[in-house]
Amino acid sequence: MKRRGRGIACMWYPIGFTVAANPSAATVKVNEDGTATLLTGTVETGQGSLTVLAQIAAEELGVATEDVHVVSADTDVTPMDTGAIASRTTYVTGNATRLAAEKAKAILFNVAAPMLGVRPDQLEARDRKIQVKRFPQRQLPISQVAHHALFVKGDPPIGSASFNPPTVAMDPETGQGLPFATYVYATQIAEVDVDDETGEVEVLRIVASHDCGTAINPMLVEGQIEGGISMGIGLALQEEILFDDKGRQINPNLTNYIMPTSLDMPEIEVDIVPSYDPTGPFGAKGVGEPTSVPTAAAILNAIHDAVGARVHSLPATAEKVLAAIKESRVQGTKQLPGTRRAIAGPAA
Amino acid sequence: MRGFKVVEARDANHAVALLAELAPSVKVLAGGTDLLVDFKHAPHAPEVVLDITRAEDLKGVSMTDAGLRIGALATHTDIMRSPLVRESLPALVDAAHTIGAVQTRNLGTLGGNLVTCVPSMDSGPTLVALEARVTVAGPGGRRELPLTEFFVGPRKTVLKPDELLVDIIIPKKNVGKPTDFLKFGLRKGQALALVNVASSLWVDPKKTFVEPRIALGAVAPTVIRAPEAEAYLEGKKITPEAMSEAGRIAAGEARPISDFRASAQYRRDLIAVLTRRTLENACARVQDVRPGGSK
Ligand SMILES: Cc1cc2nc3c(=O)[nH]c(=O)nc-3n(C[C@H](O)[C@H](O)[C@H](O)COP(=O)(O)OP(=O)(O)OC[C@H]3O[C@@H](n4cnc5c(N)ncnc54)[C@H](O)[C@@H]3O)c2cc1C
Repeated sequence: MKRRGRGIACMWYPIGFTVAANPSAATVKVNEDGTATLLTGTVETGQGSLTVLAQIAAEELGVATEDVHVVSADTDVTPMDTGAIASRTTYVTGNATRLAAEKAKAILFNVAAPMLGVRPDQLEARDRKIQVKRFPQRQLPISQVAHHALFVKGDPPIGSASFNPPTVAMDPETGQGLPFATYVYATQIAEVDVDDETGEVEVLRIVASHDCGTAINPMLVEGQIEGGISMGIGLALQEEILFDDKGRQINPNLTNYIMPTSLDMPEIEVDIVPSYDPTGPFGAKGVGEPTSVPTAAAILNAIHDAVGARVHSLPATAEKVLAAIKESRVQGTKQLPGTRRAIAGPAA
Repeated sequence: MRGFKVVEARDANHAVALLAELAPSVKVLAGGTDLLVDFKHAPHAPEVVLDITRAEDLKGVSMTDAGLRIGALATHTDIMRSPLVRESLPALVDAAHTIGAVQTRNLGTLGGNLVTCVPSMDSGPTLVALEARVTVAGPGGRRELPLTEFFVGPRKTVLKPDELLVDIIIPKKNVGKPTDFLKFGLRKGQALALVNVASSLWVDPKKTFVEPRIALGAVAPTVIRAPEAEAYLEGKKITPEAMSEAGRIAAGEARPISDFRASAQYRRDLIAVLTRRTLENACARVQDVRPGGSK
């Protein structure tokens, strides 16, 4: 018989380590046609971080994301980056990118101020224009200002910057301190069906509520959460590196190292909690690794809710779940939830 | 992978003639979903590969005097799409549907699945529960034998290097027999069976089991029948207890192994559960398939 259960798990996760140097650098150049070029050392691995960096540069410069050409991960030409690791790219590389764009923008404002008859601090960059705050009709196209800066003023609008979350020494005696610049938080709820005769667990639905600071690109945040949940399901139910007694891996292939397929994925509802971190670029923190942190715990809590049995080691394979169900029956200490909760499956 | 020569057969007889000429250093190629994987790992590929995919007479699904004939070259997708199979033996569609992914089913053939003969083959149990027979062609002509005799052991059949599997026949008396197939894998998509089970049965007007047949996969060197469980059910009233007991008996008839995927005991637990469920589902299909359900 299939029994349904729900489980909840919460987590926090640190972003931007401060126990050692953790720098990223960026260069932003505004071109004479009003587009911009961003140089960054970070690597795109499909998560969309270059899109987010382009959005950050565009927001600072008042241009569109598609106006920003990103050159990345070429050690011959791009500035240094600590790496696409530790869920740090949006926060650390994003801050470097925003600071570099801000410097290029300052040059544009210095050039545009006399052209518009105001002080630089009275200007703002929006909609591909540099305009007087509160008097948007007094404006110049960024392309015209960039052209003027380069060919008339001889002051090309280029900015380079780096960002390093301030390194904080840990107390050598207690090991205490501030090891990270900021933290993110999440809660996930899993709904599962457990076949109480085979131990098979089907994850039906996961609701994932995440704080990532400002979601600069909500669709990418959703993608990260869905991908993290698929890893979390593998961790919870399937994935395991097995060794023989000589330490050789028994399952070094995708036939026997079982990862979830698209057919194993549940319905996922993503909830992005509105929040703003003043130390992040436009309030952003990060979302990568945190997404897979609570999933396995939520699923194992849901298994317990469904059949009253606790599995204490991962992955909770069907065989382990069935053994735990049998044991909880033998002990008789934990009752199966009442029939009100039990759902008869098609094959039950 | 080493290079090899490819020759093409026009039809079954041509294939047999070419095999006689080229054996033993020749391998038949159907969908290639097993063979080419083997070539990648095998120390020596054969010199010649005989491509039979253009032999039209090895394809198709049809009703003959002997019963439902499925050509060895019918792909799993062909079986899933065949109106004849869908109507008379939907369990064959369910079994085909569990094989690999869409691409595997589009290329992989029923003949290839049976000739590769891994214990976990997903085509085996349903066909065995329906007492299927196979036709084999060789230099000495054609012969027919029960599928259970075709299987010899893991990756081993009675086929000699110069022989061809021509077709699979479900005897007329079993066409339309209520049947059910269940597979248990370690995930939903692209999984090897840890255990797969098929049961077929008729129900007589007194609501008793007639000719129950139970086939178990992945729990013995080849797909096997569970004769003691079948004998226990024959003539018994259809009750949940009888079906559970048959499951327990079947679990005792299997010879599952313990490996890193699961323990033998867990596989036995699965056999008991899946056997009972296939019996229940087959009973539920009695009305679906043929009003009255009995012979
Ligand atoms: C990704 C993937 C997933 C898979 N998943 C499953 C699964 O879930 N369940 C399952 O059961 N199988 C699975 N398989 C195995 C395989 O797809 C099937 O066994 C398939 O039916 C093999 O058919 P084929 O036509 O590709 O055979 P081929 O590879 O062409 O041939 C297989 C063997 O049979 C011989 N042969 C083929 N036809 C004949 C004939 N008519 N006469 C004599 N010899 C013949 C060949 O010489 C070869 O030795 C999977 C394979 C892959 C690659």
